[in-house]
Amino acid sequence: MKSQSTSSGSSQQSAKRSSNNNNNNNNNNRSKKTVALVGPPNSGKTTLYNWLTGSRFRTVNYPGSTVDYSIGSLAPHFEKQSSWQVVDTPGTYSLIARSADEEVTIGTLFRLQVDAVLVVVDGTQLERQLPLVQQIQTVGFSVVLAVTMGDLLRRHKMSLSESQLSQGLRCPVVVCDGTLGGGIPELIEALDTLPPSKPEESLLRQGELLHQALARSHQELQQLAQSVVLGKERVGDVFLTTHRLDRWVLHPLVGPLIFTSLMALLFTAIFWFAAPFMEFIDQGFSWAGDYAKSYIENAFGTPLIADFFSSGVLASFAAVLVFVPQIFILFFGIGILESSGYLSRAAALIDEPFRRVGLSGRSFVPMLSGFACAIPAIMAARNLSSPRDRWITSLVIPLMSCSARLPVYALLLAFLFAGEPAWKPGLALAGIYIFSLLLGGLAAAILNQILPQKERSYLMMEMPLYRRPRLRILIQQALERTRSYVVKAGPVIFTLAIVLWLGTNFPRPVEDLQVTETSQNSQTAQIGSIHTSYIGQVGRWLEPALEPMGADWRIGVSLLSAFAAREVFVASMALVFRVSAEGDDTQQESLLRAMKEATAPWRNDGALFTTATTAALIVFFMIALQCMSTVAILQKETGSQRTAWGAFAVYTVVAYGAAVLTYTLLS
Amino acid sequence: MESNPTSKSTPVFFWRWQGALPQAGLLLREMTGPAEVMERLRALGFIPGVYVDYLGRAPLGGPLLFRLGSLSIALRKEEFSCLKLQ
Repeated sequence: MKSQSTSSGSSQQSAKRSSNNNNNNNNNNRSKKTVALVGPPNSGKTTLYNWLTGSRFRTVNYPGSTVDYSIGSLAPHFEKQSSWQVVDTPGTYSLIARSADEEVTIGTLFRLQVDAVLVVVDGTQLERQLPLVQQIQTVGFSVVLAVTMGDLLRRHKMSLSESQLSQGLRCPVVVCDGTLGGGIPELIEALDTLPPSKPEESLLRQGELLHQALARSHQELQQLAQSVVLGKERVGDVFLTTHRLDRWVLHPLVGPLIFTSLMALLFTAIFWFAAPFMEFIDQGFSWAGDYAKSYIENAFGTPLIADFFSSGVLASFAAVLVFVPQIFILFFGIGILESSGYLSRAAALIDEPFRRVGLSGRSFVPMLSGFACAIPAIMAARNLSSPRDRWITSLVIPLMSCSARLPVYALLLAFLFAGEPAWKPGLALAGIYIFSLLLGGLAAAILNQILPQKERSYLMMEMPLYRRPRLRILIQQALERTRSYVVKAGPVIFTLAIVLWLGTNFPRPVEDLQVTETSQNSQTAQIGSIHTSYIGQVGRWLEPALEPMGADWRIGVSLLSAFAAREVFVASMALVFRVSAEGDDTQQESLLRAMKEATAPWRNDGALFTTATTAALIVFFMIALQCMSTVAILQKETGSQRTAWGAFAVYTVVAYGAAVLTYTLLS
Repeated sequence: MESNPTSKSTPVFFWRWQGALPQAGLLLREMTGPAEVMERLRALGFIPGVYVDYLGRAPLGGPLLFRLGSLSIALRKEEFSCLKLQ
């Protein structure tokens, strides 16, 4: 991938800091000139960026989807024509920043010392969006205007006089087609003809002055915008389908029903559609495990190394990778909601309930992203203009059930609903997700009471056109996000697999070694060996604290390892319970069987995994902030180490308390 | 006559987006309010002299929905109160 996503903080300072960090990248590539894509939210910047760079950066049909800037080189077929470095920025309505993502855009222009600005405006919204062109020109940047939605204009028999608009604005104008990539070579050609930019940052500090000067020319821009579009009486047709759909999507009764149904469909689909693919992966790993074990044993004659590969490395990866289809479906579903334009309607629907707990309708999108991963979700909270809203949203996002929790829930629900039809665990999963939203609401309400109300928060949100999601891009994005998940989790799983395998296999007392070697399939003997291992010793030290929530030292060890990354819990369970595919059982079936057979001597019924224990574990995972990357991003975005580690401590303690309560009530 | 979509006289339970709108063609006469709200409203296209259609209110007592030109916009009550419509 040619693009390089960069990060920056929520405040002006952190935005600057990030921009400075990325100056290094820029300076390395200073032989190329730099052009920044700037435009209002949802004007099609990222689509253009995709065409220009050939990158796979995600495009989202919701204001505020780009919360960082991203740098890429021109796609190889354009590099023959010219050599530019392209920067994609978050959407902004003006150069007077009102939110953290707008600060990123403006900071990027100056700190990357861009040579030109490609202002991107929606061809159906010229009257509103042209003032931004003039603002950027007034500050001293050389500008090319890219008018997007050319395909929509053409479909509705409208056209735009590029020469007249170019004359009026005194800059090159190119109409672009986001669907087919039309106009891109012309854009590059226009960039090559531009004089160098001479920006004056001091003008931005006199924001109001700049604004007043521009307001005077507003009337002229309106007239210009009206005169250049031919067939503008048909512009209403472009929005006809959107308005018709909105009659139902925002209907007082049907609207919430559609919202609830879509959410339920998304989360139940995770179980239904993924099942055959999961089975396939599981069987593949079972076969690979068996093959690796027998091959290594025959080739090297060392059962210990064979065990390391089959029960250590492969079993750990199998335990997590088997859930990849579910994670892909989650990302794919969220992608459909994002790119169709539905999310801003959902934000409007949910604004009032969210306000009652101190959030904003705009918080919904970062929170929904939190169901995929908390890290980009916390960064997405930058599009909230109120720092207070941003702070509350960021702290609540870790409660959303991210994709790393999915393998844990999937395993525990598969155990709870063993032999039941797939809709039951699917519905239970939907319940978990809804409950996590309610928990988020509760946490937000508490934070809302604690925090002083310093400034008002605003919604003021435009509803973009509904667009038909492009399947190829949706699949590409979902695959890319899934790949990132695997790449991120892979090294952690591998490292912990080694640590846990060593920890569960050493020290190896002589009598246990004999037992293990003579009766490989005897779980009792294996557990006896684990019990005396290093991990067993740590686990037993933890056990008194775990018993109130129905867990023993083996679950405790898995819980502890999940603080590195939640999904490691499943891999860790596979290791601690010494699971490997046996007979006709796949890896997952073996783990479920081991969980069923596990005993807890202190209980009357003897079983370790009861409904109460499993539910308590689910509750613990719903609340605990076990992801260290999330703590790090919280620290960065809130600018407070105390806040991040405070959240970690509070969520973990509350998770433990809630798990104990759940276990006590259910048992 | 000042128009206020939030008043009890205009309960909107079902919206009609085409034809007879709940309150179509309202002239934006004046804007007053905090600078940051005004600026964002202007960026969204609320400029004195434009015509605005009030479409209704989002469910659950949510934001008010307007059509400005071809664009649908959601505003909270306090944001709407910066607009004087006729």
